[in-house]
Amino acid sequence: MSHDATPPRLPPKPIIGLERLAGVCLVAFGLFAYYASSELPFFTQGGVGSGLLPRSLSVLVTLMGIIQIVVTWNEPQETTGRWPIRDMLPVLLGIFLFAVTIRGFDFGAFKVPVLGMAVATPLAIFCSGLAAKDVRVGELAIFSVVLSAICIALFRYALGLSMPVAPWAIGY
Amino acid sequence: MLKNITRRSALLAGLAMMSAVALPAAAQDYPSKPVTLVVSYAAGGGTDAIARVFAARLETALGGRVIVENRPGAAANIGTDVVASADPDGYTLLVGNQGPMVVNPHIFNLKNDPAEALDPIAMIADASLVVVVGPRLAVKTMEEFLAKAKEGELIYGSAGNASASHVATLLLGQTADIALKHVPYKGAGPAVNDLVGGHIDFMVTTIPSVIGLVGDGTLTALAVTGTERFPELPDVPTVAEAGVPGYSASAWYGVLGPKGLPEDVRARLTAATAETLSDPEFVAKLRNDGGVPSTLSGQAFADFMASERARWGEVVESAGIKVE
Amino acid sequence: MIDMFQNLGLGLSVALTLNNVFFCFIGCLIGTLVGVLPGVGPVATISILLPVTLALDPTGALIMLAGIYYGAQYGGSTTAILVNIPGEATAVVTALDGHEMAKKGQAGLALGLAAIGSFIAGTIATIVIAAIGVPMTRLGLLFGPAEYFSLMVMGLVFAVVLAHGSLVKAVAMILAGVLLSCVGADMETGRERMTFGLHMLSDGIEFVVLAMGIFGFAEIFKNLADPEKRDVVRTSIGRLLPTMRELRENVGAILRGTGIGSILGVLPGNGAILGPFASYAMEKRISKRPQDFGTGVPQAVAGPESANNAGAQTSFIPLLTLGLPPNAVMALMVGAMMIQGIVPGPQVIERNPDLFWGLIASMWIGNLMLVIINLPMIGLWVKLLQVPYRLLFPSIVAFCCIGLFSISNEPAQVMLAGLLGLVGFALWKLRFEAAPLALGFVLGRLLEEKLRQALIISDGSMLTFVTSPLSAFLLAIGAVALLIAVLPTIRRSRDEVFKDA
Repeated sequence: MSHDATPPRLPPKPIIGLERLAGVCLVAFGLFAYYASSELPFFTQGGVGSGLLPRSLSVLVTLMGIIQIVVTWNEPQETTGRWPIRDMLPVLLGIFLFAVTIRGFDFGAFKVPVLGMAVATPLAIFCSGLAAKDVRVGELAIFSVVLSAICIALFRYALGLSMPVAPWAIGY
Repeated sequence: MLKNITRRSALLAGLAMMSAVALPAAAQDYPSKPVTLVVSYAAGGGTDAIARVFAARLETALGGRVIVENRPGAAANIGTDVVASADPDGYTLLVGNQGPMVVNPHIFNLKNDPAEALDPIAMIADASLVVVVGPRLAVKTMEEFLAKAKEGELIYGSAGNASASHVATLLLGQTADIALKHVPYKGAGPAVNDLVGGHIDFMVTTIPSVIGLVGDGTLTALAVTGTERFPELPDVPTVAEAGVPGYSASAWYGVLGPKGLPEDVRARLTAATAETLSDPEFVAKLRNDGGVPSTLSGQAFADFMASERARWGEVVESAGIKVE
Repeated sequence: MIDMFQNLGLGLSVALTLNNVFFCFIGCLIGTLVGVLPGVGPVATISILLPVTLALDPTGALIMLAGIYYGAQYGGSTTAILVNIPGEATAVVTALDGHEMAKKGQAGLALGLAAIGSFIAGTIATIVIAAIGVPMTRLGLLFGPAEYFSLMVMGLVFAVVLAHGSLVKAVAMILAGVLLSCVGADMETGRERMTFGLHMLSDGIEFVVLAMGIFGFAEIFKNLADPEKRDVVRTSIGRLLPTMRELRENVGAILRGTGIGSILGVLPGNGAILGPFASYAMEKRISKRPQDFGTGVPQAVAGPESANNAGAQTSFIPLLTLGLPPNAVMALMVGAMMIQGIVPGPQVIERNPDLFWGLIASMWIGNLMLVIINLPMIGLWVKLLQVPYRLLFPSIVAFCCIGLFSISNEPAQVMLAGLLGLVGFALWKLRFEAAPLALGFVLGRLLEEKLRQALIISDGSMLTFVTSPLSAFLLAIGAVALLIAVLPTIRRSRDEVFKDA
């Protein structure tokens, strides 16, 4: 966890540039939202239709994107830097595993049974914890079990939230 | 709090032991595990409050735990789907009200039709609504109200599109043949606020949401929508008495299970609900909240739902409410 | 005046009975807990506890429920400051500079200022309720849909002021936020909009899901991408409590925040959410170094936190004087009163003076308790930041997942928040700010609702927004604030153009 040891390199030349890319993203989002709301009526006999706000906002967002591209066109551009998707993946997977196990999930091809908090919570903690560069697997395993027990006691019993705990063992 | 946890963990340990030796559940042991009472709304609404008070009392009557589970979404249709697709073993029940049970089938293309996929067990309560006017429309009686309404379009607020308050007003407009303009709100609270502030003309809303303001004279109650007068408002006539013959509307709540409940489980639940509804303390709480305990169960409840469904079907159809 | 003190005396005599002090304490404790836990809000907690409170006497029950409400407001800022997860819309503003302070090793100072600011705000707001609660009710009633719409427009302008980077990007984020708030069933026709047939979107995107995604999860992703920064937070902790000098520097912000929050709290339909960022905008406006806002300025925590707490307190006014609930928690309080056999409305003050004044007095006691509970806790919270990050972030993931699931018992919400976390990370990479997006989202809902209601009432005439004096006034303030925010940017870019030439 010391400071980055790699010697300073010259920044790579940006392909599109951070600020221009930001504008492009806005345009893409605006156009997508316009497409998604294109079937909604703008006005109804009585007044404002359900499409008025979404569609005019999509146009405005697109417009802001264009302005962003124009005003930053001549500015010196930076790259967006590294996108450490690999470092983030365990966390995303942990969140996903929690979601599919807590109350079961139907993928069509196969079904995940209702495993409840007793399985979903330690899975989420352990899996996401693997994202740390300084991970200690043994410590993380013990930690995930202990913290899960605390979570179950806190959310299910102290706060009385109605979540499945371990239906396969204790019925709910 | 602490005491509660120990009691519950003791219960948990007990349950764990029980289920370890559990045989396929026979109805005599029903309930052998906690019963889930599904509420189709997020925690904090009116149906949720009724369900929670009901669940607490039902636990005693059934002699087992009853857990309220909120499954909101898709105009309360998700809750219907959850219970419709659950095993019909009596461990997953629904607290339904007129919205998802009899109005929504006319408005949405539903995955599960409540009349076919659900088994009505018993009705819990029936709550009359009340027609109230605020300072913007200074009338004192239903007669004056109807006269004013003939002169020009009145503006009314509702607790939301297709809510009890909305459809009851639609029915009023259709029965009395008056033109009305609808302003939907998110819940009764903000609508009543605008009624008191004089931004809208009138509302048909639940009695608890306005009774304090009626008592004070801030709002005027013109009529109640049920077939009988409300005990707390003895001087307020019913809409039918006050010049719109044949009119009645109410918000009601009932317990339903998935289709195909075993007869003995259903009998057990019917008896437990009846026991709960005869508890004076529970009844008092219902009445405080504007509700009248119901005696309908089984087939009678199913018949009631069918007639309500036909009735509201006509109302929403002629109002042209339909969601693609 | 004498009446007021007599009444408060009566209230104190009710609130200070052993039973009621106990209920107040329990309420504040539970409230702090659910406030700190992301995703579990006071609404769910109060409705779960509703059957339990039926066994209590009405005054005790309501004192406890009220304690949960303001305790949760308070606990929410702790999470916002420490781990950048605003559990409620109001905490978004606190997170802006509060979390930056925590990153600089000033978590103790931020939490201390929040606690003391909240206490001062709570004390003043209690007196405000007792002294002018009844006349203030009228203020809320002046706001019909047209006035409310104009207020929201003004709020969106404040959201521009809030941003500290590029103006174009800030405006784009606000608009995108409003756009996101349109997702879900149309309130007038029930027709689904931009939901792509997904059930979980049919009621719109939950604020908590959005916030946990673009703030909570995104923050974890940022830290994983950039581990060195994270270590700085852990190594320097700083002092735990503010010094007298720091208090003096912030007392102005606290008092201004209290004033703004108290007024906006009375508004129906979550008007209180405007309080914190009206306060933030004001502090930034009058600050000598507005460019520092967003990098951890104490006044930017003290002011909005005070506004938040004052608003939470005064939102009881419409409930107590008219029985009108301005937000979901207050609606639950109405339910709790009804079930207990107390008719909420103008008569409560005459028929149940014990309850009325007892509840008001208990708010002050509750605020005192919150300080007593929380000041010693600050040390503990700050210690929490010293937990190795490799264990801290999996814990945050777990708490967030459970909280997200508890909103509607729907696993899809957890996944959606995960995806929004990626979006938040991308926004950070592209140097967009997430706060204007969140604020646009919160205000957008009300904006559209009120716009449409106003136009139905006015038969489609836009004139309704200027014929109402109050509405016209609010729009004018918004226009002026926008000009003030935009002019320097335009002038600057013009200067740059001339410089280039």
